[in-house]
Amino acid sequence: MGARRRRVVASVVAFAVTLVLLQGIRWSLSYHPLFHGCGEHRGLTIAADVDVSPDFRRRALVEDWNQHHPRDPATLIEVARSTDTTRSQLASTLESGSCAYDVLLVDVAWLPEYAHRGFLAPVKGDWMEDRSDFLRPTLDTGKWKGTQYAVPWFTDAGLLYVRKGTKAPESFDALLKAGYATQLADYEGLTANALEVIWNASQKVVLSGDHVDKVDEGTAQVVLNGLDHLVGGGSALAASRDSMEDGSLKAFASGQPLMRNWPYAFRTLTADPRIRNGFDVRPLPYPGIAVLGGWDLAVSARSKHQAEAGLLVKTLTGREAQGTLFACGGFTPTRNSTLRDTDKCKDPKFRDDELPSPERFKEFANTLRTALFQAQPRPITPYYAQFSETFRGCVEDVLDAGNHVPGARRPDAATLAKVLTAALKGKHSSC
Amino acid sequence: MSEDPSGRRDARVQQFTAVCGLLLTLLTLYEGPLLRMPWWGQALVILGIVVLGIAIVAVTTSAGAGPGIWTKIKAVAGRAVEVARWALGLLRLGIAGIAAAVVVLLAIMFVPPLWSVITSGGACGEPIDLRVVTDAENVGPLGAAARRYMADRSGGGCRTVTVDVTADAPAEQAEAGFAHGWTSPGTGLSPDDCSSRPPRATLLGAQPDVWIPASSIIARGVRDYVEGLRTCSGKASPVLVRAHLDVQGSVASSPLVLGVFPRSDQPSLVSGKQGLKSLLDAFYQDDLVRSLARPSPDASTSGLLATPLLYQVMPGSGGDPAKVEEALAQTEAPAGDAVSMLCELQKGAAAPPDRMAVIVPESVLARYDHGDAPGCPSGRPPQQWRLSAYYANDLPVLDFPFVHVRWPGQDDGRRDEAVADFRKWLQRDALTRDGLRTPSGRLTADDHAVGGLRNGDHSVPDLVPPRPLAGGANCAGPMEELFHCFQNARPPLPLSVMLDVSGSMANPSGPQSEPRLGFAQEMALRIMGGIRPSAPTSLFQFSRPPRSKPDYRMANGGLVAASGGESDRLDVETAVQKATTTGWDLALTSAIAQAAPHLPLGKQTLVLVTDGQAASTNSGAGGQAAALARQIKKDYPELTLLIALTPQSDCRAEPVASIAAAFGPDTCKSADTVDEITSLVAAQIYRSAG
Repeated sequence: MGARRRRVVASVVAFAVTLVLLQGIRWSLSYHPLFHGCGEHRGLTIAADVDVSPDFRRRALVEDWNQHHPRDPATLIEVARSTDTTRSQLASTLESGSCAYDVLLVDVAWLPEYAHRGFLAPVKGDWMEDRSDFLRPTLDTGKWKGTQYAVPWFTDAGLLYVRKGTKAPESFDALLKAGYATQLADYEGLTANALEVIWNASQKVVLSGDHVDKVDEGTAQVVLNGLDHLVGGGSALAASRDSMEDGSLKAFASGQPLMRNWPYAFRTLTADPRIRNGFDVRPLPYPGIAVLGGWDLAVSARSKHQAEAGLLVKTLTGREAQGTLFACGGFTPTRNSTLRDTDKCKDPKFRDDELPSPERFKEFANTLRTALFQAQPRPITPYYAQFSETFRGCVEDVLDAGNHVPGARRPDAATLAKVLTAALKGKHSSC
Repeated sequence: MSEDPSGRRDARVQQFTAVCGLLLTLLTLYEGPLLRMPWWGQALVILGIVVLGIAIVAVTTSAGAGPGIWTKIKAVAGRAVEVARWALGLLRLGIAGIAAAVVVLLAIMFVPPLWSVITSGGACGEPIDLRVVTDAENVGPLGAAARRYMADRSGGGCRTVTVDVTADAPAEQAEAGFAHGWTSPGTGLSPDDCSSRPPRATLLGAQPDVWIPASSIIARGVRDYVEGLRTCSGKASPVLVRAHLDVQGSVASSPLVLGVFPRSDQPSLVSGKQGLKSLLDAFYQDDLVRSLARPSPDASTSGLLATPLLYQVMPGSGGDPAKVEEALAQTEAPAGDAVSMLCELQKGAAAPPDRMAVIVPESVLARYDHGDAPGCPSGRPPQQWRLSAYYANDLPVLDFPFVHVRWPGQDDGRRDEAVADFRKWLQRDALTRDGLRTPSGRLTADDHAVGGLRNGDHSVPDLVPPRPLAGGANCAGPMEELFHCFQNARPPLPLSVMLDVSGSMANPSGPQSEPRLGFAQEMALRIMGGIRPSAPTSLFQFSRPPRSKPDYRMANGGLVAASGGESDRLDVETAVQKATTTGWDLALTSAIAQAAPHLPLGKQTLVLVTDGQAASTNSGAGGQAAALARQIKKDYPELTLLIALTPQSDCRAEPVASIAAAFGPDTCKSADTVDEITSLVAAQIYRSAG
């Protein structure tokens, strides 16, 4: 064998042997899980937070599905009451490749993150009943970079609750001056409320939608000016700094004349013997821009039953299901037809005085339609969790400085712009 | 090498054989113990095999050397050198191939992550989510530590890990949870049928990657229980899979202390007294303390661990566990963990309960006094609400073990490394800034909360090392023994629960605006959990079909489940969890009258759980209640009736007011939280059992 040829043969053999040996060492040093793969489960699973809706309506829908689909029974797996804990469970499970969940209930704020990380299967055409019936803004909550990843199930927008006998403020400025019970504790409620104040005080919709990837000083100044209105607001706002949804409900039920809260409060207050029908619900006062929230149903990209899961999503988000959820469960529907064709809950176990009257319910549906028409999304970014945490920190700094808390410092526009831009790239810093 | 052609051929054959043999040896050995060695160990083994191969070839091909051992050795050595030179020559021939293999491997390892960084536009990568579950009393300190850890692990502003800290479930629920995919017991998933699929299953929260209970007694007890069960594999059921628990050493400690409010505070009284008995005797004898509150063992490990010692030393109990539990129940302190107990005591009360002392962890007391306890009114409590700590040398010390939890199907290398890193960080005494001591019990200078307990004549020991649990035999032992001891001290009397499932129970109320039925279910389960597991329990549900007549008769009096003892108690609890609203109001007096014939005879408690209904659906309640009370007192003279209301309902509203008037002033209980109402009902059950 010539020398050159000998060298080539030896190199090839050495290449193969070395690669095998080194890969072997590398494999041996890597982590070996308890078992490889995903496992298998019969039927479908839906991962969600704990259902605390009136009469546990979401659970009832799943039971209905099981009655009509005995071959593909579904199990509603309720993770926790806290949405942060539910998010943590879903992210950990999906990131590790588990196929335990087929359908996921996703907060619209998390959807970009999940889609970006490849957790969700794109929605196929036959997973939606009458696509054109969905409210356009709610349909958009299920999209990421032009692809539909989830189907909207129920939605949310901030509303103003006014005790009877109180004159409703005609503008948002007047509302701020009067003060109102709301949610300003350090959680997502603060983000939603702060954005609403900024948008309505400045009449500019900043930090919203999917075109927000950086924040300039001009935008930061708009934010700071808006927050100054919050600092100068009525005393009920200061009292709301420790409140979440239930704290503000309690304040309203105990006599506070004005409250900003989500649509679920309508049913809760109607059932409260201290209130019953003693209040009205309106969209936020002029300009009336509310934060658009909500929850969508998506099929897990890891699911081994995607076709059946898609059919389940279609059923749960269909007209009939949404009608029941709205009329009986207090959920805000995502379909035009459901908001238009309002009908009272047909479940015979409720007495007439245990539910809102048909007229009142229709009025509420009209209010919702107006509010949803004007509602705007929060920033659509896969780094929403980081953005919200950073934004809240800055908001608290502004509020503390405005209330002369020792050591608190109001950030300037340049700092705020820098910090929020970094947060939109997933970087953590503070004002 | 030999100049002879046939000799050269032989040598080549031998070399070829040696190379093949070497490769086969390596491939065969590349498993088992070799795989567990670090990389340098494996490299040494491979080198050793090569040297051995050279030696074997040298020995076998040096035959024919001259006589004498030294000659033979020199011949073998010479041959070994020739073979080594030949091997090196072979290596030089193949060096290009070896280099290419190294380049390919480095490319496989580093190009994908580099590409990801280049195309990300400066955005951060995805942090890993770590789910941490810890004792409810430890959520505050561990949450604060977790935030520091996340900041510590943020390089260039990019977080590499997100830690979510939540409270764990009570130990008995946690055992079942770890055995079955962290599902809550009684929600309908059958652990015996891995393919079972009920319409709903509830988790106890996010499945933990890290579990830090308050005590290694609990960690070991749960681990041993889970390992002993026949459970579902990850392949058979990713939802019901069993966790693998690896108990890895303590991360902090905190002794239990006796806490007294200012009115009872007198350090000179107890100076020199070391044991809990002498402390309590001194306080009780001087009438500085009249009652003692302890966190509920159902919700708190610290409460459970304090129990064996309390059974021995509680003043006036004569060492009788049942009497001790009765005395503790009469304080009506909210039946939750130590933090919620202290916070709830403060809410709505002008002053602390008269001469009440508490037994709580030092870390909880310190944070409470410092104004850092989550759930308490913000800021430091007013002076009259602050507690002073007294140390007993036999109260338990919590030792917070770190347990690495692996869920089959969810464990991977990245998660494994993240957990290990978090453990190492915590074990650098990271929790001492948050009111906890080091694992050895040392108080550090940065622990300002505990250090703040030193004032006036109050001393705080610098060292309180973990110690064995004190208490009686058959009580102060492993976890199962603790549970058994505590449960056997509870009232043994039958308990029946009547659950209102009319339509109004679907409406929201309660601290989190959940349906009233949800609150009622949780209340019913906690009340049932408050009696001995062997005590008979029954569940009734009552309502009437829509548009039916008010005198509607329920089948079986509304009885849906009953247990004669411990073995079928779970059936009753499952029935509670499965309850749904079904119809209109059935008048409360009618429901009780229909259930009565299905009750056992003798001393017992009947608890009616309802939202109070409305006067309009309970017409004539006054007269009916009086008649019912007379009948019940005649047929069941030892029955105690209690009405437990859901939040926002009022004991003074009809029809409940009429029933309470007929059956006695303590009949109706209402509160805003499950903890509060559970303690009120439990206190009443104990009174009626006594």
